[in-house]
Amino acid sequence: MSTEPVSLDLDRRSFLKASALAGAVALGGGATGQTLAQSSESSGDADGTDTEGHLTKTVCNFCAVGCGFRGERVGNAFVGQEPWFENPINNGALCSKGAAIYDSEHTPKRLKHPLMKQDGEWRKVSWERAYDEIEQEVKRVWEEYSRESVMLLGSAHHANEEAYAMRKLAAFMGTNNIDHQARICHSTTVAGLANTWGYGAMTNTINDYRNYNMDLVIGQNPAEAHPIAMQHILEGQKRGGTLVVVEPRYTKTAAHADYFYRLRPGTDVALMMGLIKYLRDQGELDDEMIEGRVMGWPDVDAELDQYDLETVSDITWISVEDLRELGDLIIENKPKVQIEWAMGGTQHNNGTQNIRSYALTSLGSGSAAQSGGGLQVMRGHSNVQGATDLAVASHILPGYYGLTPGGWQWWADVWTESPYTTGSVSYDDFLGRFDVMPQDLWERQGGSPDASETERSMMFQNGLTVARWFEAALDQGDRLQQTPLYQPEKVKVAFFWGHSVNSISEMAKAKQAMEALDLLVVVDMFPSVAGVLPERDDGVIILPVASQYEHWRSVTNSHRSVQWSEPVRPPSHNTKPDMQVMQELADRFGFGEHFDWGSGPDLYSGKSTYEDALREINIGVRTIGYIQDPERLELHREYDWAFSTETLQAESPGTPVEGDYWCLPWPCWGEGHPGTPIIWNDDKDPRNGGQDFRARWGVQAPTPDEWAEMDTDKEYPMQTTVDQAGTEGLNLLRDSYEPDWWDDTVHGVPQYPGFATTMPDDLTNPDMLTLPYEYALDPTKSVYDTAVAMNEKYDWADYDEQFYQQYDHKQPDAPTGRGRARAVVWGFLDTVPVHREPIESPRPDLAESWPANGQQRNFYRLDQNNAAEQETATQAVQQQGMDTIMTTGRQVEHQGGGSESRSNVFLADLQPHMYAEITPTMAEEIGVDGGDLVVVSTTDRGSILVKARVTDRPSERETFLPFHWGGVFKGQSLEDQYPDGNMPYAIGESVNTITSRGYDVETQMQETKAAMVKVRAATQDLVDELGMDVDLAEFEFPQDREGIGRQKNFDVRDSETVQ
Amino acid sequence: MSTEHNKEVMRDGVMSVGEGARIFPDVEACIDCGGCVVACKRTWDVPADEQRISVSTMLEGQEAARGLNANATTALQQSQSPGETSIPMQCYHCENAPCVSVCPTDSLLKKEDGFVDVRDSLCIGCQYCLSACPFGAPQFPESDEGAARLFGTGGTMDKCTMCEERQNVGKGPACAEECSTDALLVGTADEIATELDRRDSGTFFNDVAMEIVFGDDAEAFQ
Repeated sequence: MSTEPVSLDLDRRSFLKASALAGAVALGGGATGQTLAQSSESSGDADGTDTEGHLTKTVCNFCAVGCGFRGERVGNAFVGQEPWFENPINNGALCSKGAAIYDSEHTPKRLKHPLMKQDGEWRKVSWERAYDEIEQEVKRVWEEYSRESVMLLGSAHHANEEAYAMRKLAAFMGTNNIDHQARICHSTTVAGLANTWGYGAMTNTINDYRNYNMDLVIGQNPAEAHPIAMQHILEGQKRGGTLVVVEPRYTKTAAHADYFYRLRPGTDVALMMGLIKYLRDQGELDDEMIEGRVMGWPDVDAELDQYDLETVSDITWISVEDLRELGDLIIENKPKVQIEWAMGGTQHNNGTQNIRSYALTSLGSGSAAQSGGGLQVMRGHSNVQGATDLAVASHILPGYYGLTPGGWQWWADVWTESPYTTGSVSYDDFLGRFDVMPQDLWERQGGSPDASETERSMMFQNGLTVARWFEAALDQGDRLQQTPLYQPEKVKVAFFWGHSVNSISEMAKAKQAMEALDLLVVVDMFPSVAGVLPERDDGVIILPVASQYEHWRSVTNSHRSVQWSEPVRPPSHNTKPDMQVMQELADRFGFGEHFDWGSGPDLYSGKSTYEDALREINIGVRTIGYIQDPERLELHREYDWAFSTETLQAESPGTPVEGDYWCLPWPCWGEGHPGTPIIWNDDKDPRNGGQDFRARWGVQAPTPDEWAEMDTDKEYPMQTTVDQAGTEGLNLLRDSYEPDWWDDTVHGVPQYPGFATTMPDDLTNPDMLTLPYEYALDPTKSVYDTAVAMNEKYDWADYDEQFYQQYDHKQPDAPTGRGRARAVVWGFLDTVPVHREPIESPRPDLAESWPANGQQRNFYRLDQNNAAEQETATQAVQQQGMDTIMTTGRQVEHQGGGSESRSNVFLADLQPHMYAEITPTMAEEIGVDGGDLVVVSTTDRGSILVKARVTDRPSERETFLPFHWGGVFKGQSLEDQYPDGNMPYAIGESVNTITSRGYDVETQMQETKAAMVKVRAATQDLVDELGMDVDLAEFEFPQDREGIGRQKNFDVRDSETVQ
Repeated sequence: MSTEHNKEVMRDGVMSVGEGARIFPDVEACIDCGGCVVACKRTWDVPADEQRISVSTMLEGQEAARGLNANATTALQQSQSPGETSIPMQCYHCENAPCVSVCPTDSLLKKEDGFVDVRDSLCIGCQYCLSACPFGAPQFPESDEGAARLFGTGGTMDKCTMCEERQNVGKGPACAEECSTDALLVGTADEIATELDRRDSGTFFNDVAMEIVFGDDAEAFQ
């Protein structure tokens, strides 16, 4: 029992314990609850004091902060929510979305049974019937067309186990056409960072926001996108940190900033390179970090001179004075400068380079790899991190293994050896499942005419992405730039599995594509826009899945903690968990034995299914250390109170979780390893969660001679480095150093041999350390000892002991070695970041001096040419007088495509409308008041009809539109398309109907943050002129009809305050 | 654990509950996330068109006077623009509650334990309390229905109860417990004033309003 006195200085947990001492009713831990009046489950008045019911420990499924809450269960009913105070990430707090989970569960708008569209009507069908139809159609399409004719759009809202199962499902279905929201979220981050220092994830933790000297928020709005992160960001500010917001718009986050700088969308590279140049010119670059831990800096330096302050100011629209001020702030506050971003940084045609420029700023200012510094990548959806790690992505296999013979061999082995599934599969089996790229297409994309069929297997080809999948369902003439499609046949079946259609640009095309399919399957909790956008009378099936609060799951938050979450209740109505649907479909397709996780007679066995799937993940995902055993994660939940919100570590002595970091943030190398809260952090012993930059690219970058041998016509990208430092400058292992935690010198070493391709000796104990992991962490073993021991132990091992002998340093390491960050990414089109204008640029002169990248072939099955698109688009913008920059973003009350949040009465009520934010000046100019309808028009994507919201947030030359909306398409209401009773409370136009056509050249990320539009008052004449099928006199939003959200204000000029 | 207390500037919003507890916002911490609004509605099944707590934002989209953007209350004290600031508005269960003074039927009552309560059976829906309350706390969800609609009155008044029943079993008000950034402070007037001071934050309300809310205890906020 606690002996803490009742006093003012208690934090929440101590207070609860003390109250128990003082004789008040015991709090927390299962003794509290509330019952709410509900028609179906109980009666009586609302009373938030009842003490019946079991309180679960559950993780919110909205954003990637990963807040916990306690669901109250009485019998099988979810009757209320209470705060989960002990979860060290959120300490009981929830934003409006998390607080509203109760209604997401209970809303009458939820899907209850499978539905099929027949003769233009939605009909209820049984699961068996729905499965029959899907099985039949998919098999027919495989037969008549190809394996590549199926596209799987998977989900960032799935559990880890489900994401993993879905990637496996695609593999067995014989296609790489599987992708998810990460593509359009942080794909550019993952590519940019992974190629800089080895992993593409958030380097520090959300809690580490408490420790910055300066937090640079660029292209992100955490107050709305990650509200609970603000708990820690504001704390960091109160401790003396400086919060700086760089944004096109004065956001809710900017309202709390010490400094705010208004940036033109799409100019991040110019800004950051300008700041790096400023630091250099002031003599303030961190030489120790650059010389000791970075390769190739001289080649970055060579590019800096073009970013003088005047040029940068012209490009970014930030004044020279402000640029100096910002530079000085970095100088003043380094090395604890944190940089955070989200879609404002990523969603651009050169998004990867934006991120690279943030990384270079972090390295140059010495802020990388430490507490209070680092790159705070704020992922979006609840499990986009997990779904990315487990590769619901068309270019990788789970754990980022490549679509290479090696990658496939590894997973064929894991899927065979795994004791958690009964099936066996070989590399050749997979080869047999995949189709082959036709010879003509193969050669067109630069393949050798002598290539064998094996080489041409689609197994090794990146698949379609969610950003452009629809091109594959259209005829060539209808595709952007009439691109060929580098696969045997078009796409005829698409699964929208927990993925919105209105978060992807080019919606008119997607609509067309969805109408061209033979079968569209929507797997979701709500019909979503995908269910209602395509105008078709049949060939649509909706499968209703259970919510993520209705089964066990693990989910990886933005800072890599793998939280194990408890269901509040079993699946509602006639829904099934996503996992179960995957297992049952796998069974229908004839490979159910590879999906039979769980102990029990049924294919789907509840908790044990998820536990066993996670254990299989533990076995196979060796690259990033996903070795979090479900048992350890259960213990974390039990001892949640032991974890500090300051450090996320279990500091209380004497518990079984002592020393662990909350939910073992990856890399967690296995039994006994506490997880890695801050990656790249060399000031900690790896056994206590320290690491170093990965030695991912070997021990030396290519020399000029080696470059000449390589299959590329790019200029040698490390020339300046070699000129200045010789071959020594190409060294990819870090300089040796003397850390506090070690008595001796620690040396740079390559990655430990076999670390990513060795399974544990006992597969029923998946977190036991493998030899490479064990030796890496062992202070008495070196990477050379490991090579020798591996060769001795494994027949298949044949490591070059002579090579490793030069690194015979006995020291504790992470298995990923101790390498250098790459300032030059020699494999990228832009080896060093260079500014590139948006596709629709307001400055044709800049578009000429800083054009987008050019022609690409077979880039995720399609050709693309940003430069060509930019030329025509920018010209059209000028000709048609599109004078306003359009940028898009989030509203705190809504999530993603908005089908769930707009169907939630609390959230719909708080934020009832889609709108375009315009300044009072623009409102005056075009003659509208807040709440009036306006038309937002583009050069060639048409127009949308939305309410005006008159506010000072955007700049005079800009408008901002949230993207969470759907249900109205170019003025036409889709109300009648929804199945009866499933239309959301609030509908509106989708901004992605009119966003522009640019795609990042490394990941195919869509450019949705910078387009050029015209905003005008909506008159009948205008909408008629634009060909919009709407009668303004009759037009009405259902939310207005029903009186939802009437308190909402749309014009700052109306009163002193707005709600 | 104790080192945590020393380092942490922004402590838990709910400091103590029960008799004598007050609720009051730290506007510099409020990010207008709507968590409080939803937590309240969910807990008490509040109908869609009523807000027992609501966040009002001033000067939306506007930067404060130079150097003061993150110090709204300081700016206000210096008669400078505080820039965009969000204020959670609810019943603050005032010491000198004007609603209690003006209520013609005495259905509003400042109780011994500090809570300001409306007794439904006595409320005639005249809405005087709404006119008197500087904070807009009284809500009239039934004003469009039945007799109220007929006679043009407000129907029975409803407002924030500071989750009295929860406090009676030692729990905090739902809004404050779930607030993203500990912007809703619950405790004695002294505890609240101390916490605001600790955070180097102040109040957005003028002296008259502070006197209404805290009575003599308003001194603690000077």
